[in-house]
Amino acid sequence: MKQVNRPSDDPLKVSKILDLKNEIKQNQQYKTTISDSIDFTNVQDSALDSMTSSLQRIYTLTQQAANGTYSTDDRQAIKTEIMSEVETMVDSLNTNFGGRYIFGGQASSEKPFSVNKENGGFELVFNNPAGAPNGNVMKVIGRGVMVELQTDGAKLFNASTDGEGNVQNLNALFSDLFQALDSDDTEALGGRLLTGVDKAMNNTVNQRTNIGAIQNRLIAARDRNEAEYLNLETTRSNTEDIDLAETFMKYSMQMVSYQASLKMGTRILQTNILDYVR
Amino acid sequence: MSGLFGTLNTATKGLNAQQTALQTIGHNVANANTTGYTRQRVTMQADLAQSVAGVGQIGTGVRIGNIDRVSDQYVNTQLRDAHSTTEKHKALSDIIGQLEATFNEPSDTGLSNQISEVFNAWTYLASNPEQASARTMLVQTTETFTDTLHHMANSMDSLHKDTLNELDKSAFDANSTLKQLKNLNHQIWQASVRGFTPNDLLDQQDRLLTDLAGKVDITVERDRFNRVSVDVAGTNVLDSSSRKELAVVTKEENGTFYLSNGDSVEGPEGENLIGKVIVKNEDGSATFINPQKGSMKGTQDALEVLSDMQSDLNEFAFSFATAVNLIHSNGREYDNGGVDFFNNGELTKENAALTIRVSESLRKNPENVVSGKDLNNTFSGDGSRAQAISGLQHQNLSLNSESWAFNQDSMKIEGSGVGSTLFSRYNSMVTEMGIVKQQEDNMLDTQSALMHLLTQRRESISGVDINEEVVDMIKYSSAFQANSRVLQTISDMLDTLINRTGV
Repeated sequence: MKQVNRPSDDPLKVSKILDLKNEIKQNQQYKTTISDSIDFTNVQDSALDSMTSSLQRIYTLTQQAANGTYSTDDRQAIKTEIMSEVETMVDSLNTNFGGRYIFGGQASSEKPFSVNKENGGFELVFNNPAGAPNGNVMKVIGRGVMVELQTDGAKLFNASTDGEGNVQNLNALFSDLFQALDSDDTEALGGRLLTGVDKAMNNTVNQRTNIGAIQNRLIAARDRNEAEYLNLETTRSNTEDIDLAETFMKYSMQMVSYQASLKMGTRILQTNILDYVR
Repeated sequence: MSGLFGTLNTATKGLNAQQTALQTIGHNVANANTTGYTRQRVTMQADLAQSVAGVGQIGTGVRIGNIDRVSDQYVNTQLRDAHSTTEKHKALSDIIGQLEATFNEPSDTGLSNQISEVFNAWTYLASNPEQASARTMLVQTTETFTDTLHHMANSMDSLHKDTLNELDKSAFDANSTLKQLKNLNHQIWQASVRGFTPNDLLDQQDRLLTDLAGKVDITVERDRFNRVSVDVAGTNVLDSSSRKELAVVTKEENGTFYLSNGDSVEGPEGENLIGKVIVKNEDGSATFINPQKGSMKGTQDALEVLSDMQSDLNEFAFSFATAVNLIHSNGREYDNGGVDFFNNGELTKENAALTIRVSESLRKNPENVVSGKDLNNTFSGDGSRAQAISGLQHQNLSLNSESWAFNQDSMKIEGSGVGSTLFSRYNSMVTEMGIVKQQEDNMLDTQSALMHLLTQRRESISGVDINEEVVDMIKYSSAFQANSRVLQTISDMLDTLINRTGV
């Protein structure tokens, strides 16, 4: 039940209605984007949670291996376990949500991390496609408002910088760790390698904090979006929909005048002089 | 002649006069419901008196002076003019009403909804560039949008043709009315020359003049024989000796303009003559006239509004396609794999709304739609180009698409100066049309009230009032009875004289 059916009923009102409808449609589209993004960051958060647990386990194992009482065989067993933990970690990092890899950057259909076991070795590889632009994916959540989802796997791979400012990636760290385990280098195990794993954990926690912050921003955006939707719908309804009570009252009054004029009309028309002339 | 026979004559004259008066009343009452009928009234005069020596002047009875039409020419002219104006507004309002039906706003199936859907599809693609379904949906939504544009352009085209035909038909009707008026002129002249007032013919003349006034504004002049001379929009088309015809320019081919019957016509250089009305002169030349009132003027105005709307829609479609094409093809970088989204870039402004379509290569293979910075979609998660296209809905673009410059880095259209967004341009079209119709409807309401007033005035002067006619009937029938009484008395007197006097 609308107040206007054609532009000529009230042209300016129709103009306003068209604009409002357009805004409402856009608002709903942003809502979908925001929901998707919130789900995405949730998945990212769980993946990083799993990665942190793996790194924690690796830290404990490294600490154990640094103990002088362990034998070479014990250290080999630890090495195997650490390798398996790394593979678990890679699986988490390679999580795919809705068709895209959560840490794949803009090349989101390609698996970012892999383990290369050729020639009996163990290499953690981060696939950085050549020429890929900014690693983060942009989502538009409002008019002129964009949010960057942290999807760049490189930030997780480049775990720390050493004293000279050189970047130490996870592969280098683990290669170093395996070498130390093979050579029973307890000093390195208890010293720089432990620090290295610790730094990797810190990095992961930092990334997780970033993602948490982004999620908070998205949740606030969702609330804003809902409030805006409510406002737009109310304005649209006030402009477009009829006030049923008022319209019905007007109709009743018109009906009364109509019936009155009909009655009077027939009375007047029927009277003429021929009734009175014999 | 005095004497009893003279008096008999007086009584007879009286009877005849009352009888004629009753006949006229009967005519009036019979035509009480005839449209355009003007009531007639008998004027009686006392006959010439006779002078009798020593007595003075003795009256000789009654004589019918005239049978008059009770009409006020001034009110009739006013009514005609008002009718002209009313028909003008009605014609324009009707046609714009049909145009509104084509637009079908505000509704869920109108073009404004389609525009929102298309931009939303781009936004969705920007957020989900890895999905093949996002691309398919985009192409489908855009196809629906272009289909709606085609439909609207076609409807407006048909409406334009139909309106032109209407105009032509009005001219044809006006010509046949003029022909009837000419015949009537002759008949009226024949009667008037003998000293009679052809009342019913004059009524018919008024009716025809009102009809004509409904089509086009006219000025009427009467000569002493009540023949009319008609000027249409300042040019004479009918007078006592000749009649000219009206015609409408309906076609244009290769720069020459044609009437509906195929004759070519020449007019002022450089102007679009379609829809203009001409008067055909005897020597074959044409005089262009500009009606100011009447349904022909209303229809001409409607044609103008229609043409404007058509070109606005074309411009809108052209701007939309050009903007999307610019961004999608990265500033027309065809060598590097850039592809135009619409019509492979071959769209022209004149028929944009009718011919706009998604490029064939994209229709067949939606996966070729470019969503990211790289024209070959190398990075499947990059939705930045789709984002730029979606951002068009908030960007003010100037009308002159030639002045648009494309910045390949930011993927934005620049240098567009002052302008409005694509959506608001469509919105203005709809609003403008609505305002025109609303104005016409308001004028129509005002005019209707005026027409009502004037019609009542005319009816009070020229219409048949049953009560008045019945009273007159009583008057005349009493007079008839009294006259027959006189006749009876004279007859008795004569009888006495002839049969009972003398031997």
